Amino acid sequence: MAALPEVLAAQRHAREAVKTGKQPAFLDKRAAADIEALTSEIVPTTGTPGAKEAGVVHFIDRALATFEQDNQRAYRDGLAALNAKRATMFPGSASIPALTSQQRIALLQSVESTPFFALLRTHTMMGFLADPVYGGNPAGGYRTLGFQPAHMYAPPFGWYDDKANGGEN
Amino acid sequence: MPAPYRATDPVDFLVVGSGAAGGSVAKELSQAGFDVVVLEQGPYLTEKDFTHDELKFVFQNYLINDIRKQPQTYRTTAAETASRDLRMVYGRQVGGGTVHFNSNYWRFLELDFRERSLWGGIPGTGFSDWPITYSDLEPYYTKAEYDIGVSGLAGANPFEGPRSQPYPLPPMPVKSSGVLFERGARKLGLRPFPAPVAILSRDYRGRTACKHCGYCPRFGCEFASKSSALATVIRMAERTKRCEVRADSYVSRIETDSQGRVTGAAYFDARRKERFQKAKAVVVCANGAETPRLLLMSHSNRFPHGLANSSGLVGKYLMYDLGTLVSGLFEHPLNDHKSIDVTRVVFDYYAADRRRGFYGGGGIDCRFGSNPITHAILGVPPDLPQWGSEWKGLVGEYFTHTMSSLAHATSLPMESNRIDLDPVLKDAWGLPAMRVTYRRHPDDIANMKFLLARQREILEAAGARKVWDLGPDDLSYSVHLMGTCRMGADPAASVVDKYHRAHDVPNLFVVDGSSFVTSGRQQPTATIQALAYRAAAHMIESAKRGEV
Repeated sequence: MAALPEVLAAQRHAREAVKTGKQPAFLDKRAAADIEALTSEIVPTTGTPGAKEAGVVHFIDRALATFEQDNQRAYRDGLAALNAKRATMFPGSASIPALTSQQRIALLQSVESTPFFALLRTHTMMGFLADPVYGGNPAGGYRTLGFQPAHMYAPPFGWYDDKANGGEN
Repeated sequence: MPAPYRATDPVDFLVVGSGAAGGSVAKELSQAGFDVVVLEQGPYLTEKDFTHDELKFVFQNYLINDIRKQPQTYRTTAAETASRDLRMVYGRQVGGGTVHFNSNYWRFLELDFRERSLWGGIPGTGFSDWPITYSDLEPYYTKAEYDIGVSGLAGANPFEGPRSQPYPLPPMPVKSSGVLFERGARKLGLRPFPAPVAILSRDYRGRTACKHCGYCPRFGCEFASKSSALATVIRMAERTKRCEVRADSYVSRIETDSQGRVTGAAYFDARRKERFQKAKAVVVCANGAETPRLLLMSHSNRFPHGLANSSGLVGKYLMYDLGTLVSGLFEHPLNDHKSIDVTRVVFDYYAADRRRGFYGGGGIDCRFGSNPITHAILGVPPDLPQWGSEWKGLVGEYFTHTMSSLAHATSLPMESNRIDLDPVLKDAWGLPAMRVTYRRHPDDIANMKFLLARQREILEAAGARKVWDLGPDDLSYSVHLMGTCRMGADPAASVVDKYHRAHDVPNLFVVDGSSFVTSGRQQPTATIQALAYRAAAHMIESAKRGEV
């Protein structure tokens, strides 16, 4: 595939950005910390990388500064509403990152049916799996899915077509 | 690339649109020695532009119409005020929708052309026979299959009409979804067969065989193994040196003279500068939604209700892409994200059957149809966690162990379902936005429920551990745009004749999904392309006799 070297170069670039802790461009420090804490509950770090390792916050930051500008307000309002809710649900708590993981999950569950949660979830999945040119970092996401990013395959493709395509199953 | 034609010299044929219809018409006309200009509103992309960037191609809709620039409005009946919505989705680049299509390439059956005779009238609809039969179209299905390269197994579909030639290429390798689907269907006594697809299973006429990358639907093919109009007929047309494909050329109006003949088309170029191309004849192939819009925008003193619209039917009888999706989880990995989308289909429920109590039928396929981001967002069934560690533990199993089945259902032609011009909203060029009025016929809904139940049976019989669906009620956008300029013998009851010549205008032809009288069972591309080849043959004969 002609585009492969470019893709590899962009992937290296994104990995560098995550490693060097690049500062967000659109989000302020607090918003970035909130988003990192929240998206890390949506796709948590388990045995495999999660939203944090994928640098989802960088993806969202870049998206809001470029192709998702229309959603800047939704983020401002959504985060404000979530912080207000946090103060009610967990009186005396200092911030979303300062909550326990369990508390953050409860906070997210309480807004699960809101458009902002749907947006945040969609952006998290995108950052987890989108091309590095958007600030995404799909390597860990691909592992979670079992997606083999060869982009060219030969039969057999799966267990059930093995025999039909000349295999043993 | 031939030297560009001058706007002031009338070309023999001006073709509006470069998809399955426009590309084929341009190829046939230019090979017959006519001078042709094709005006395509979208850009001229090529294989080097086709990457696997899911954000760009799926979520930012890189290959379809952009409603930020070309807004649409929607309502269910004329009693409502339409509001902004995306309903009509089409390919917007040289090659049109065939650039990003799944490449399912189904011939219609013989019954599709005469269902009114077989079934009888249906109150509240314009359910009619076509003015042509399967045998009229058969030579052109064959011609299209050989020109572009279609893979399939002749004789395997027990319901297919007679064919003059086998497929030029053998079927694509079966995927795990195809093996399971076939297993389930056979247990139920059905007769599944290899899906006919416009994708190369072998090298063909200088193009390379499919590499099974898994990025057909919504993506362009970087190998040109998908038999899109771009990879096939457009290039054949250009090789004649008699066809200029002018991309980024958005037609706003077809002009007529005092005799009521068309003289050419006005269009915006890439810089939004207005231009005019003279022509001796115009062929509109702008798709089932943009074609009626363009004819309605081309109204004049002589044609006050829109060009070719003395019947009042331009835009009416819009038929929709109705489908039902069922998914199943299996014990072993399918890895169905690899290779083409569909490898097996079943036509046993294709014909309507009175015993069901409603008109309708469908073709049922098996597929996966998701790329990684889409799957992460939508792939885990709605009754299970959609985020968090539980979701993360499930999403991989559902990615590798899942398949889906899509049924392609009938859509009855109703006069109240239509495309017209929004009275208020304009697009970025200042042209009236498209307004869509559409609701389903009760039989369409009953049919979708019926097909859903059949799909569930097949997946259960195939041994699925879990089967789920989202019901028949998710009516969103349509990618198969049909009806709206229906063909027929009676000028009062149709827009074009059986050769796609406008009843009202002797040197205007209309051929694309808009010509359809009934919907078939979706998958209209093969029929659109065959109609275009047949229409072009007639244009060539007529032009040689001086009758255009």
